[in-house]
Amino acid sequence: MTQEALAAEAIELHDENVATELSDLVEKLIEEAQRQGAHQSSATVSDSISVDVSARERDIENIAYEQGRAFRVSVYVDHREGTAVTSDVSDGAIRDTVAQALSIARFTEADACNGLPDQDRLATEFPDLEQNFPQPVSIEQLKSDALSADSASLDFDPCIMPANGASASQTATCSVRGNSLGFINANRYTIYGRSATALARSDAGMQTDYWFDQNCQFGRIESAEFIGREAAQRALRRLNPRTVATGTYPVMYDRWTAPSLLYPLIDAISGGNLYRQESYLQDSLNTQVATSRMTLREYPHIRNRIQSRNCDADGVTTCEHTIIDSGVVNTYLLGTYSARRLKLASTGHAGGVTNIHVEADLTPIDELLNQMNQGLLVTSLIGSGTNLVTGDYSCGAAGFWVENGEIAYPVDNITIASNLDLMYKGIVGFGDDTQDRGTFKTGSILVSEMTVASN
Amino acid sequence: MSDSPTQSRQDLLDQAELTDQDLALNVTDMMDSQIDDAELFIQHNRSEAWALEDGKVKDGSFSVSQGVGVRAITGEKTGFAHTNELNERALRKACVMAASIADRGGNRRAEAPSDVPFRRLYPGGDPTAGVTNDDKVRFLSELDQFTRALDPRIAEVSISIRGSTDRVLVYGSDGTNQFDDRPLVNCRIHVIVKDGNRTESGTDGSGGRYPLDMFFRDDFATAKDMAREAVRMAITKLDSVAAPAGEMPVVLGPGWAGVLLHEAVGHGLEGDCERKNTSCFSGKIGEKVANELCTVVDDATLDGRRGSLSIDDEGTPGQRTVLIEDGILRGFMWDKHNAILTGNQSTGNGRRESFASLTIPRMTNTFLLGGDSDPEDIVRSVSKGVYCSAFSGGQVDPSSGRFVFATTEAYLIEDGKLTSPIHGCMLTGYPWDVMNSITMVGSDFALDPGVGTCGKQGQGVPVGVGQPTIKVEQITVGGTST
Repeated sequence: MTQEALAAEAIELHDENVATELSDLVEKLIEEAQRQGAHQSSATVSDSISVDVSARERDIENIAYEQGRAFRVSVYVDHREGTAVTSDVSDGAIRDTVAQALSIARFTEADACNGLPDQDRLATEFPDLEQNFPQPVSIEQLKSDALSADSASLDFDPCIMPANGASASQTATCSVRGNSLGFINANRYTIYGRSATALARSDAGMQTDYWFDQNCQFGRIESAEFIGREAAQRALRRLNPRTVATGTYPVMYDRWTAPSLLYPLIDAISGGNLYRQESYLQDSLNTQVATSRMTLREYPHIRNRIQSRNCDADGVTTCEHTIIDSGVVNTYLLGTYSARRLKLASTGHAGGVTNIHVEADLTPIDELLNQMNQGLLVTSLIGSGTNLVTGDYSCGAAGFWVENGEIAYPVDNITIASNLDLMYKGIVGFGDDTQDRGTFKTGSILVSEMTVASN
Repeated sequence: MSDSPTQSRQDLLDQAELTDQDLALNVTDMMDSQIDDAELFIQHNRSEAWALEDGKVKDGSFSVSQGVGVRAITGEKTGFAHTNELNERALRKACVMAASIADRGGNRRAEAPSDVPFRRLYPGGDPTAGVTNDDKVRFLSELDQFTRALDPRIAEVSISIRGSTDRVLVYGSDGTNQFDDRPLVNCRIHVIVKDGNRTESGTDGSGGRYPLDMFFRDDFATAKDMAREAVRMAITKLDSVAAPAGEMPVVLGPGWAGVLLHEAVGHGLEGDCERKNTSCFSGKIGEKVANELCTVVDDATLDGRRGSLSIDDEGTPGQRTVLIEDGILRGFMWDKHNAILTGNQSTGNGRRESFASLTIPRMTNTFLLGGDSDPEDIVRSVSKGVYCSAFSGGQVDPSSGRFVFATTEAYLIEDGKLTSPIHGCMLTGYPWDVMNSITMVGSDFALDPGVGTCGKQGQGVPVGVGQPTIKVEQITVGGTST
């Protein structure tokens, strides 16, 4: 392969047989584990190929190629568990890795909650969730996308300065999971992404921001030009920030920061935090934990979405759930182990949640700003200041001051603080500016009051 | 546990099914495609972890990660390919892909002498050797019982120990040919306490580049101290009140609070920000950026510390770099690539999370040197403010300079005395405001206990921080009480 040929050629993706090849490897691992004395075992093998091209100051800066394969095996002997992970997939390494997992299992203590899911919980049907769109994208295409996004940002305004540039990437992954109960599932997906950062400069200082999009279909990511312009626009609007007087105000999380408002709620009703007593929502099933205006529903099987899946990390079937029903906890989010610890049934949440829709009466965003009248519109958060044990919340923020229902000026260098319990119960409005980019489908969310601290 | 570096280096090559000749040949071939610089990074990482929760040692894991990262540089451009398939064929393919970045005639860089001598700051070999699996299980169980006996309000205890060995070989067209064998261990204790309807948590941990055996000596003395500290912190917080909101004087305790410097000045002094002109410190060498009481250094050369490096990930020996001296900005932290492009010298700060990540300039152990003030006088000088002694971490936006860091243990200061403990909260500020308002620097310098991990561009690397007790005249405290 010469370099010229390589550059022009489409990136080499997995061939059609990769799923079969990895499935054989998973079966080999499980056979080896049972042969060496495991009572139960599970294995995961994944292989991914990716290319990431970045551009800066209208020129290509980095091209990074990645190819990696790794496997993980867990073994159970009399409810004792051992796990081993390696990136070496040779026959010798398989034998040694399984032996390591078993040697660990010999030393750990028995825990009746350990072990594979009950057979009847395992997924048996695997409809195509349409997440795999391998498409021959050439390096030249990725280069041109990265350059376009970088130029679009630089050309947007004279205040935009060269900084960290833009990038375009492509990843193809195949992962196969199996266990000694006969479960096996191969999952292939592609992720195409474009991102741009922008630095805006004024006499008062510099501000950076970024924008990105990703999708399993190449044709469905936002255009490179749009990404670049959006990054520039976001950085520009932050220039010349002011400060606000420390006090208690209504706070609106815009549609892009609203997910980070909701994540702690999901964490607080997740099995691991509940059985470790690390959650302020201990024993919260069927109790009111948020405004009755809010319902959170999970849809794991939406096609063409990166987050969707047929089964969880344990192989348990995923299904639609009403997680929060008019503010009441309808279900905890449990994997096999945490469910057993809490004497409940797995909800198919080993490894986390999929697609969650915020279902509420939506208010046109302008009306919601009017409803807030005066307060803080948060557009960016920095630092993680959530204490899930107590619900105490304190976070660095930047955004805009809203006066008479209108955006007045950018603000920065402030913190917003409250307690999660008060915040979720104090949500008073949901914007109709819905976005559906990641885990949460949501618009802006208005919290009645939080403490805003500033200098 | 010390294996000879020569033998360990040979073992690494053998595991990778590669020879020195393979390395030389591939680098020569890459240079034929008219690039400035070619580098191979071969790594083998072995780690194990044991965890106890709910009174049971129920988790154990063992992991091996190995691979090669190939970097080709031409001007400001970098071609990078990595694979965890280790053999001559995979290496050759990665080299061809990385070298495809070449787009113009090569400007070969000056040769660096190979095998630059350096001091080994930590023992090589497996840090967990000498401690049997039985010992590890007994350690966790006994420590669990010890911790639970400390206070009847303890509801849950989780303890983990971890040990890894990281062997890296750096081979470059500039003549670099270096090998390092890096141990890393840590122990962490986390407790949940309950009293009536209040629940709180406390955590303590420590670690570094030394044998795991350190925790097992003297009847687990170090680990028992950590257990007492975690419990003390949790119990103290049971009585905590709402934290204040607004700008006020803050006293930061010794050690961990150095995370302030890491965020406020450290990231902005990494050479990539300087080259790209994206740091609020860009072009300010020789200017006053902090109160004259402040001298800040990055020092990779401390024996056995978590952030220490005998050599960095480009083969440059670890160094001590003065960043700020008596308030004046003196230097940035450089890796080779950013240093060459700006006419600087690498300061041994080129680091990568693994073979699968590109090298970027990163901190090692970064700290503020001690001063003259008595720590008690510092607290006494504040009539109304906050004293912070423990932190969970921070974050910075290097271009605006704005940073945050989160306290996990803090107290009100009223009339020069510590009074009520307060809920954890975020502190935020701009480096020039905060660094210039450091008006007292204590004589009680301490490094953190060795549990810090710094994240940048998605790559985590172990780091150290440190400082004495300091007084910051004005910083924004993000509590709820106005």
